[in-house]
Amino acid sequence: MLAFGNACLQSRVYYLSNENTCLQTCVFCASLGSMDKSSHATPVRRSQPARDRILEAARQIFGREGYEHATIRAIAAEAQINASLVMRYYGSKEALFAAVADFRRTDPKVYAGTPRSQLGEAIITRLIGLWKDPTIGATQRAMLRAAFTIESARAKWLRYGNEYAQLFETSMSDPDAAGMLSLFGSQIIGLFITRHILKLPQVVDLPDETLTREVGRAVQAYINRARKISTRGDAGRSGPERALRQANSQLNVTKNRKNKQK
Amino acid sequence: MTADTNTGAGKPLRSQPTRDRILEAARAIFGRDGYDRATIRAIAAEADINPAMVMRYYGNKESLFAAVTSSPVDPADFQTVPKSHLGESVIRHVLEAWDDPEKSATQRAILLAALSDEDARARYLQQHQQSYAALLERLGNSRRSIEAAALMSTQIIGLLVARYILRVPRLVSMSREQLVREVGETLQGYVRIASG
Repeated sequence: MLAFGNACLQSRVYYLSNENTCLQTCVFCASLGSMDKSSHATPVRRSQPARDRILEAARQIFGREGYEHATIRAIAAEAQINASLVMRYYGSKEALFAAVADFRRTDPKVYAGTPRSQLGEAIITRLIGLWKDPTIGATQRAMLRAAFTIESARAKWLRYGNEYAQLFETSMSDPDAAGMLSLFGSQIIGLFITRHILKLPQVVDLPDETLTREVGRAVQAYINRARKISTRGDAGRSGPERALRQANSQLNVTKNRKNKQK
Repeated sequence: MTADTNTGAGKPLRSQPTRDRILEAARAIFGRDGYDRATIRAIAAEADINPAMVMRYYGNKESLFAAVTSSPVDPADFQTVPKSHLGESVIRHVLEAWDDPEKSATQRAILLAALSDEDARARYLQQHQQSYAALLERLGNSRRSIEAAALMSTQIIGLLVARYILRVPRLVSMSREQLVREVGETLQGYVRIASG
């Protein structure tokens, strides 16, 4: 139990307990006033339906208004829930946004079994499908809009790009290969923005098959060029040098993961 | 203030330096803060002018923004370019405008505003239609040309956002020549759709 005025170590949120009994749930782990880490693993969530409604509302509002214009009040109204409850469950606009910002649904790892020569088409086919999903589309819009003005959100996007580098097995330490991969990213972001944020009429009108075929071909070309540069780089290096480079890039991956957890 | 609120052609000589200073300050502030966060007060401070003066010359933030905005593409720009080089030519043209220190802050502010504000988006669409028409004049007006130009805009706008707004490190550091070559190739792939 948390005593009056103590903070949960994980969420740093203060619990105001009533007559020595903590009635608040932890906004992050939902365990009842407990500071014991083990109880974080099996949260008690009587409030789950309300939380889900808040998250869905937050996705819509963040997606429509952007991070800066979105207000807890508007999110609460969309969820048809009292604003104080939103604050109680999520603590702040930042924490609520963090709960919404989620790349898992567009994780590049799903392409692991796809032949490399078909990655371009596979990626575009999957993404244009995902973006049409109201929830995923709104989440992506919210995350991208936040990245324009908030440094931590921008850093998240840049790390997300690195995950594609792992999928394509291209080296991000080679500036040319990293450049090709960044161009690959620019084409994908451009497709998303013109279709789902700017809604340019001509782009919205493009049939899915045309996008899959043509944009798929364009991004495949960037993937091919990135891979070609990476292999050229490796072939020109001696065995030990190559091993060192791989170890370094592995180290970077670990570092990134650690940063992510922070 | 007198009844004469005609701020346009009335007394151009005396007010021109002030107007220029306001416009220059507006470019800087819109570029730095974006349309939403920019304030008349900040622009006035940057221009070292009373905010009331800014309001008198430009009325409101929106019309001041419109005053620093101009369409970056002229149809004449592409008329003499051979179709086989259209991809490179288009991206070179766009990057030249965006790398120009005087224009880039404004361009960036316009795009950033369009991405976060519905009114700004409507303004952006108008400007984009002009660029679009310029491209179509060169590509022809068939269904395939329209698709080609649409596809080109996905890559161009994506590059602009990635390089100038998200500031993806490798795209910021990449030379204009390399960008023209690599992105030009992608755009040329889309141009070929128009030619059938």
